[in-house]
Amino acid sequence: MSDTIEINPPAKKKINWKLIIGLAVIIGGILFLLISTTRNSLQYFLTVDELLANPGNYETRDVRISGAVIGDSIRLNENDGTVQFTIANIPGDHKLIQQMGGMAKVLADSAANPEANRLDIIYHGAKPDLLKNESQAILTGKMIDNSTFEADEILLKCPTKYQGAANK
Amino acid sequence: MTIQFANASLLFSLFTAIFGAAAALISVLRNSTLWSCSSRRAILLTFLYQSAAAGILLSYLISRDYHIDYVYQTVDNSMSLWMRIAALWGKQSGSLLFWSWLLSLFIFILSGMVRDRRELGIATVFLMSNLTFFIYINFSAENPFPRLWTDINTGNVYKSIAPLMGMMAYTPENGLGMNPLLRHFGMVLHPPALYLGYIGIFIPASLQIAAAFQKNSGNQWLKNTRGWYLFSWIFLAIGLLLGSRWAYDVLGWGGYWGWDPVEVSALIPFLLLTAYVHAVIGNRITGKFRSLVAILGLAAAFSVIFSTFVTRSGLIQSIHAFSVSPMSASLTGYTICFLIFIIFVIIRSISANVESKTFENIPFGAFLQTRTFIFYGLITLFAVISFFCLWGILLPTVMNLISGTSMVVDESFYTQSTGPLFLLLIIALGIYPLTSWKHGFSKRRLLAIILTAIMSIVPVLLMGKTQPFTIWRSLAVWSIGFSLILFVIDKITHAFEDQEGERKFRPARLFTQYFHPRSRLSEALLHLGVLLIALGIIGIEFFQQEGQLSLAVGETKTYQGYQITLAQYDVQNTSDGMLTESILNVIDPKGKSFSVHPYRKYYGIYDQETTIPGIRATLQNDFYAILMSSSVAGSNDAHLFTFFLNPLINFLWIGGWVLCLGGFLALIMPSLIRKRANG
Repeated sequence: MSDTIEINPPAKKKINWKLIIGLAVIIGGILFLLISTTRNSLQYFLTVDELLANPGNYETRDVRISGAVIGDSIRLNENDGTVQFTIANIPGDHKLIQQMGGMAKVLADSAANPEANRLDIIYHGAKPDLLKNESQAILTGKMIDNSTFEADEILLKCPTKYQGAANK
Repeated sequence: MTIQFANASLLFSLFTAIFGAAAALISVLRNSTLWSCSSRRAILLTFLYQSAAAGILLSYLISRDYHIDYVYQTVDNSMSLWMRIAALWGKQSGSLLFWSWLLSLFIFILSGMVRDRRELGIATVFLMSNLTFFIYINFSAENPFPRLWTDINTGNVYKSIAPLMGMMAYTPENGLGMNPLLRHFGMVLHPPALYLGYIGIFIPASLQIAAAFQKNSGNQWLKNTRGWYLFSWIFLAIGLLLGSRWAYDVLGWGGYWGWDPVEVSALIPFLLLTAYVHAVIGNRITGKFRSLVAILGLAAAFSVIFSTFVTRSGLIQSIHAFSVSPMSASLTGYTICFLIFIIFVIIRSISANVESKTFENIPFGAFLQTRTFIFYGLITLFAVISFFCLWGILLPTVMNLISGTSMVVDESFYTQSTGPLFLLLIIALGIYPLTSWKHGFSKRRLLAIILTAIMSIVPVLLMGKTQPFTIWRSLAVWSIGFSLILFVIDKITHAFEDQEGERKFRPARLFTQYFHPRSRLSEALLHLGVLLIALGIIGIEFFQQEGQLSLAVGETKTYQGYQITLAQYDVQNTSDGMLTESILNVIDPKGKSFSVHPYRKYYGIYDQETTIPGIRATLQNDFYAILMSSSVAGSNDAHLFTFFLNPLINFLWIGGWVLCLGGFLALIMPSLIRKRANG
């Protein structure tokens, strides 16, 4: 037994305006949704250097920044549950990072380099497990004064570094 | 010696894979049985060589031979047998070996199943070429077999597969082991489940490609590939589910999904395959949807390659910490070649499959009420959601190429753009059982839909008693209420039977309705699973509550009606790190008491803190407690805790397993029924 339905013979060619209007409305709706949400959520992705060059520009809108976490600076405030720490500038360019010896080395060098530009971070929320020395912090938030950044979101990456025992 | 044998096996599998592809190509071009046999043997040999290489690496992992660099980097003395097995996919080179071994296994199985020489030949050319690429990368740039050697004079350690002149074998006493955050059943099984899903998709794609290059291939490929695509779909679902559960249990932020590019790229094949499955069903019943079936299957296969590209190339920013790897350039080239080839095949298969594109001769208004229209609608929705996901992943890269500025979209892009579309899908799922393929709604059904739409306002009003109304929250509650009610109504109406002109309720039919048609049970489970998942997601996304309390030992405080007492707080040194434990005794608003046990553990050798939440799960909500402060303060001071109330979250996990069960039934039912019919 087959449950296939016989298809009616093709109708004569006739412009189906209802279909065209329907499709236009749908495509228009999709484009509207795409463009409006993209505009709402698009953020600059900056290095600490770029941010500190014009800190005033970023007090009213969210930006995303990336930097190396300095382990000694991590403070947990037991009373209000905020986490404070400092990040150091790392380059934003993938190729440059490769030339400088890879992400792990760049993070370690930046965190240890007192000359590198630094930025204080305040984060309201639980201290993430990956927040530790020389991890890469990617933060979303605003500048609250010329040297402090208030983060709403935090994303951490720890490049694997197994060079300790096995030097190639 | 053995390790060199393993490495040689890897190299030989590269040769046999190249030979297998070449022999298959010759067998197709010359229509030669001899070359076809050769190609089949090459497939078997490739699988055997791959098994030897993977098996040897696995045995070293199990026996903790730290002389092998890969073992040293992924295993340590404290890891259990299961964790040591899981270390096989713990790092790039090992997981690539596991990946190509699985692919070689699937090709071997396929070669036993396909009778048609030409079809197998074309499929083999495609599959073995892909396998060749993966083995080549695995042998050259990402080799898992180097060993550690030390120079006695300088003490420097070097990596090499072959022994180095004048150097001693170096075997560390302990390995570096797996990051403690990854030691969870979800994270152990999440990669192999996703891999099964990813690699499973190559097989039907290859058969579809074979059909596109054959004359008069007819519809047979549709039947041959369905099961394989479904297989992939199930394992992708399991993989995604395990990953979410891991994040929920381990990461300690009360969440389960972060819209990270890697997560999103694993979601895309799943969405496309879901669309594909619906297109196949639509095709079986109406004869339409053929082009869509062809496009969606291959698009899903390409999205797997794209997903691998996102995860491994390092070009896209993600929390999944793979750095730019040596395979980046070749992977980019491979992805582009694959895309061009797939587009070529899609054009070929569409032009070969001429289908009647005219709609049935029913009024346009009535057509909008048919199941055919719902299917077109939901396939469009799945495709658009996938496109939005792709847009979110690629936008930063594209912006950078065009304008040189670094711009990104945050999580809100995904939730705001796909959220409304997911709600439409839920509503479509609710209406679907009342539709028919041929005609519009009957008056009775239309009335049922309108009444349900009105009835679904009740949960929204109930919600308004405790929570403020917002547009999206109200719409979300309304849609899930609407679809759940219609789902139940559909099951109840099927328990009515026409008898002597009267409609009678037959309680037994509440269960027997699933016997026929055969797909009714799996369909009901799949859709119930989706509705439950949606319920759980709406619960946690719109109604999650979060708060903090600081508690001293013995102190009691109240949070959202929960009386919480810190009963115990302990800091102790264990063999692998500093453990900070706490026990909270809680009395919930209904007067029931329970304890949760949130703890933190600091693993010294990895410099890694882990925060494990204490969770009390009920259907109503999860009480999710996190110990915030580490072992700094003495045990008499106050300790900070974060609490989450995650309403309905457990429906997400239950729904997930119901979904997988439904998928599994859909996979095995046809063959079970065939067996019964034959026997």
